[in-house]
Amino acid sequence: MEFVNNAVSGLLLGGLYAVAALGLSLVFGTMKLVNLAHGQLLILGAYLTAMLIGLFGGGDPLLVGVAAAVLLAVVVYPLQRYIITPVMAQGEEPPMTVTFGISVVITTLLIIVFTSSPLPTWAVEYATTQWDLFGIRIRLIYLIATVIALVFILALMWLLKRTAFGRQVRAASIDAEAAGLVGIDVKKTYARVMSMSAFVAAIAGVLIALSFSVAPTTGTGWLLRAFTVVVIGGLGSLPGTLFGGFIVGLVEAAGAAWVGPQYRDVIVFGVLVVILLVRPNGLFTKVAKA
Amino acid sequence: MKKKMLVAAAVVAAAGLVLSGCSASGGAGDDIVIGASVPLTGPLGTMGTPVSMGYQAAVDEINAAGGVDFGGAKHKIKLVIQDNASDPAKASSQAKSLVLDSKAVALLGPVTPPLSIPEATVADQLKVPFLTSITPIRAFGGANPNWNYAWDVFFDELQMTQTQFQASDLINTNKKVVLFTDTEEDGVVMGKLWEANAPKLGYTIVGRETFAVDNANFSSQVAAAKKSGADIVIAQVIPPEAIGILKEMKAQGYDPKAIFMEKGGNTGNFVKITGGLGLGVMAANWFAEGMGLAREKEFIDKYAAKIGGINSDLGILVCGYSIANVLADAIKVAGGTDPAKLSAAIGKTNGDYAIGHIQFTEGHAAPLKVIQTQWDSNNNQVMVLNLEGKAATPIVTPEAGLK
Amino acid sequence: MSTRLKSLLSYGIPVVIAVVLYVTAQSVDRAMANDFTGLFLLMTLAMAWNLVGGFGGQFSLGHSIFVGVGSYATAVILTTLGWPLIPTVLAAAVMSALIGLLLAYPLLRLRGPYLAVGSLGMAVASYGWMINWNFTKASQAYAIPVSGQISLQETYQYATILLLIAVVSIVALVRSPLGLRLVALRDNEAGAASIGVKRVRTLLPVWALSGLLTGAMGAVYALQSGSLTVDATFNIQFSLDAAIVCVIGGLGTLSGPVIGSIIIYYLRKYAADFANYALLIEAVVLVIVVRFFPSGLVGLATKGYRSITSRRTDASKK
Repeated sequence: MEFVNNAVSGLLLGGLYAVAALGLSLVFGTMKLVNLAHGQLLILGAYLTAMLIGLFGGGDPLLVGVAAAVLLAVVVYPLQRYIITPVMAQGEEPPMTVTFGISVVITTLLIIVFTSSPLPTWAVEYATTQWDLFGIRIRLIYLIATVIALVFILALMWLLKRTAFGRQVRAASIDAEAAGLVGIDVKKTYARVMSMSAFVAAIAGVLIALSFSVAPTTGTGWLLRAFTVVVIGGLGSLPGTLFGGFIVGLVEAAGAAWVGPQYRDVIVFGVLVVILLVRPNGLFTKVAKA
Repeated sequence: MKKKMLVAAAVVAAAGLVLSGCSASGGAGDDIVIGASVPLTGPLGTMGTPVSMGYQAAVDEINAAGGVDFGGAKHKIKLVIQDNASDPAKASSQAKSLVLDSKAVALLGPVTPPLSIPEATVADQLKVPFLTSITPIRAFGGANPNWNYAWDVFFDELQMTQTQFQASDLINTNKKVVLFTDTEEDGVVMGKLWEANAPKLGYTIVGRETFAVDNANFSSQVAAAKKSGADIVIAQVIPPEAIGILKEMKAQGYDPKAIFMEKGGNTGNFVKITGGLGLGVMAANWFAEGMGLAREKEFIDKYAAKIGGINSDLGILVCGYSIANVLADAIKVAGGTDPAKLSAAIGKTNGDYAIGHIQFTEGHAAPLKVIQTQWDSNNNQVMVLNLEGKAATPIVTPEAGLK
Repeated sequence: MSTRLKSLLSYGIPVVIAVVLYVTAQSVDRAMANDFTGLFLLMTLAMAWNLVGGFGGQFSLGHSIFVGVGSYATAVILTTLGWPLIPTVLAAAVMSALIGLLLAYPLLRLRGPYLAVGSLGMAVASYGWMINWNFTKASQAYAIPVSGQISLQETYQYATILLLIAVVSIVALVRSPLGLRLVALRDNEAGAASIGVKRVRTLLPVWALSGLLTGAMGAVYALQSGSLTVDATFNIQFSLDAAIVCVIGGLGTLSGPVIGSIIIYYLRKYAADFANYALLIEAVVLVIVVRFFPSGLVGLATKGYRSITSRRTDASKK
């Protein structure tokens, strides 16, 4: 029974990991950009939500989180358009370095504005509710996160496959130069994709704050988790991200049960490395794109 | 091209401005320079901030009275505080730089062993007196039994790890205890002592959950603790972990009769940052209302509002204030800042300070006695076990925040 | 200038500078000795990283492992075996080089961002292992036994020798046929393969040298610190620092890491009093440099120098 319990809670936690990783996956899939600021975008989403709740004098974190997500999407648009995209022509390293710089700027600004203590936890019922179904523990917030992950993935897939904007994004991701030649504004497309990524990240940040705790420096840990999820799921594959999240959640739970919870990181990142070595492009990509 | 040159010029100018602005930060005139590399940000920022406030308060007071009196003249103190962002590597390099570049003649410490020990090591390397607090003395001595220039004023884990059981004696429990300890100095040292003390005081340790610092997910540990059926949880964690554990306990519906969260629970605003879950959590303390310290009321009146309550943040401030005064008194006794004489004078300290009586023992440590306190809804930590190990204000049980 | 004279100068100048620094070390005051030790360690780290990350085009985020292995090996050997200092440092460096081979062999299957993520995964996993490993006192501080007896000036001398070895070996490698193959592989893998450049055979020795130098840097860093924690050694900040220094100075150039180190080191030192704003300034400088000076400050300087000295229009590039 304890085994089933561990598996279920690991799986649901994986849903949270998937939302946290979704934006990273989207950005990598369309522009081959490794966004080292992704972890900080998550955290920033939670802080913006806290700020807005303070401003509105209350409100449900997840609902206010949508407003914060829009705000964050607006903020990152010019960052991508005028700072990151111009650097991307220089190869892979410079944009990575720039996003790292941005992540440090975000962390430092958060510390300056909010101090370094953890963000006060929102006292909402569903953050700490747990259901007991025939002896199986189900933590509501993880379930919510999993549902949100599913909704986002379906919505993004629809957006990418069925809309004109989606066609532009796919064209730009296959061959940016050719897309430019046929009249697609690749730079604007990239900025829009980053905005979408930030939107999802902000919601994920709220979910993280509701499930655990958030402080200005917690972004890095989540960035690493998100990386693992994205790599295991196949860099850039949206449904793969969900599976990646589930696998990481399960591996964590199994590792914690069999080896000991203190070795969680060793196990998760060990699995990451092994998977990278066996399938350099992730588990859920069929064709290896060099 | 022109545009790039302009930007280049701007960068160089900005860098130049920064460089010229701070190169003057060395020792000036006749002032005594004292350095402190403390965590103002990062996971320990919540503790580093009040300790530096304490240092500053003491120095301001001493300077307002004209300075430290020795050699027939009064010397003002210049306190240089740097933020090491809770990073041990930075703490060590800043401590060095404070002595070598800012010409500090003595150092005041950061908080907790992971930061205090690297800085103490630097002090011994450079032969500069170093005085720290908020670093339990067995962890301090365990890292180096033969400190030369480093001194520590804080509680003895042996006494501290008895108070949780003494407080538990005041309520009705099944005497079963689960431990949550991280793998750094405090967790290792205190974990062992709790395991040793429990049977002597009539308690059984039914589980010990360990984890590395910076862990976010406590689901399996809390599940194991709940399964063990313990009425008492004793944890040695940092603040973000305390929040994670409490949320998981709430989610899993584990509401033991007593929760002790050492270090993690010693954070001002604890009830607020845990969203109310921390209401009723207990933690050892070295300052509280009714404890009987001579200047208790004075500090409460002066700083409680500023700090946001009568809690361990205020206690940390008083610790910082006290050791800064110990250092100033030692400078007076040593008749100057000669490192060897000053360090010897610190070692001879024997007197009453705001935090209580300070006298160093062989391991370069001066033990403080602790009490147990419980968080109430006014952001205060109320004394539930006094210095004699007897009941003070009655304990609210079970822990209110998890209900 | 004849090539022979040029190569003589490129080895001779560093040797002469190092000898002068070494001989005068004992008369330098403690502040300066400590300053230069820190600077030289950062330079060595950045140069060693640049070998892989700049010349090899492999953006490693795993170099913190080498720093950690080098420093902990030093601490453990000194404590348990009680070896003299120099053999200890050498053994630590060799151990780190072996780890370099061990990590590189599988990592070489990966390219671009995958390599960055894979090496980062290795770094985090090693951190997670070390923080629990009781043999190295888990997350408790590990004291270096001899650190009290070594003066700051002596540590500075070790750092000087280390930097000299790094400079000479890196210059030699970059100028060697191996170095040419390395750059060819980075710039055009298919083209390089067509003329018979083998990827693994080229990259393995480069990773080993990079690991060796970084491990030795970790060993001297251990002496400088006096006590170690996993947080202070296996910290991915080392990899990031190295990358930042190289990007600011100029990736894949010999002088880039040197210039980048000087800028970053002194920026950090003098901005320390500004607490949070120090990091903010550093990050903003980093973003500006990458955005507006893609080839780093060395590239900028070369461009400026060319535009001043040469009258003919520079036909190279664009």
